Amino acid sequence: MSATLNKYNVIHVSNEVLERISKKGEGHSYTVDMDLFYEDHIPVVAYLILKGSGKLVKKRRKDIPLGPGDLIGFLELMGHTPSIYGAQISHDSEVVFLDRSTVLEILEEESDQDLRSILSALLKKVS
Amino acid sequence: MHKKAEHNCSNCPSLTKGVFCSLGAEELKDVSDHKITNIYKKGQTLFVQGNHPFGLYCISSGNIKVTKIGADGKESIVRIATAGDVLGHRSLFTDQYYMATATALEDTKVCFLDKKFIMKVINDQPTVSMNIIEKLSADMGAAENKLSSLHQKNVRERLAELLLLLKESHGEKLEDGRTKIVIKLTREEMATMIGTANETLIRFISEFKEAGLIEQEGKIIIIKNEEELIDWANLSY
Repeated sequence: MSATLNKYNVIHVSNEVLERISKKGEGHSYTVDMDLFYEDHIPVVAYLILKGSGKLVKKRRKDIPLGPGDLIGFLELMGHTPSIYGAQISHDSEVVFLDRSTVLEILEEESDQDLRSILSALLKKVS
Repeated sequence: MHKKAEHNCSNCPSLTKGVFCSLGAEELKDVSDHKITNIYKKGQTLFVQGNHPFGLYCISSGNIKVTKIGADGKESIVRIATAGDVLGHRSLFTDQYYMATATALEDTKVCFLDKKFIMKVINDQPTVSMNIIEKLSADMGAAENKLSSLHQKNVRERLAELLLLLKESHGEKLEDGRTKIVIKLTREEMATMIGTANETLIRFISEFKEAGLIEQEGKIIIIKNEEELIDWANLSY
């Protein structure tokens, strides 16, 4: 059970963490390519890709591919910080959303101590 | 990551028109601490028709067009939301996906609160729920008026009515008595608002100008003769 943070602020979670987060948030299947959030915006929720693909985008820079297990926007949402990258999701992708209240519930009340520890540790890296 | 952004609700220029106007300093701070604030550039979308609803969007400044895509793929403007208005409030009380798309018409500052948080505020602060009900009622009234206009009025009357509505929401009184409508809408956008073709709208705008009801400064429309415009709108109240 693990989660790793890369230099683009993308958190890649293991299958076990993915399953546990999936139970907490609400899911949505995308039928068309779409912007999840824009460059320089604070995401309104965090997005965990369950199936399919996406990418981080920035003007005049190379796109950074995203895939299943990637959690994006989490640190920016909880830290109230605008994202350096925009994010797009591809059609036929499935995503679970985590809003701020749900994350705070996990951090404050969650009986799943492993999940709570992982999310707390990630947030400490940016606080 | 960028620098942490801070936006306090108590400094919001639209606080008195918004749903949180009745909250005390402490409650307002809770909202400020929880909300996410972004500036949407022209053309950027807050949410898209058919997508999962996340919560409530409060417009601090600027203008948002709310549009629906029909079966023929054509976009029609349902309404224009402006400073003090909220979006996504209907989705708070239903499990329906967004039934329209919200797009910034200009640089627009928007605050967002997730559904769980806003439902807690509604439970704790009945005045907030009353303010949301008031917004929903106003939306319903406007939708009923628009529906009856589309059924009962001709294009000339509908255009006159639209200009009067825009005057109410975005009008700026000039010293000489004229009223400037300070929102930049394309002719195509105006045409979809009254359910007509672009060419028809352009023809009627020319007619209104020739009759001395309005004039134009670039894309901005100025109302010259409001009384006559009311007459042309054939208002029943």
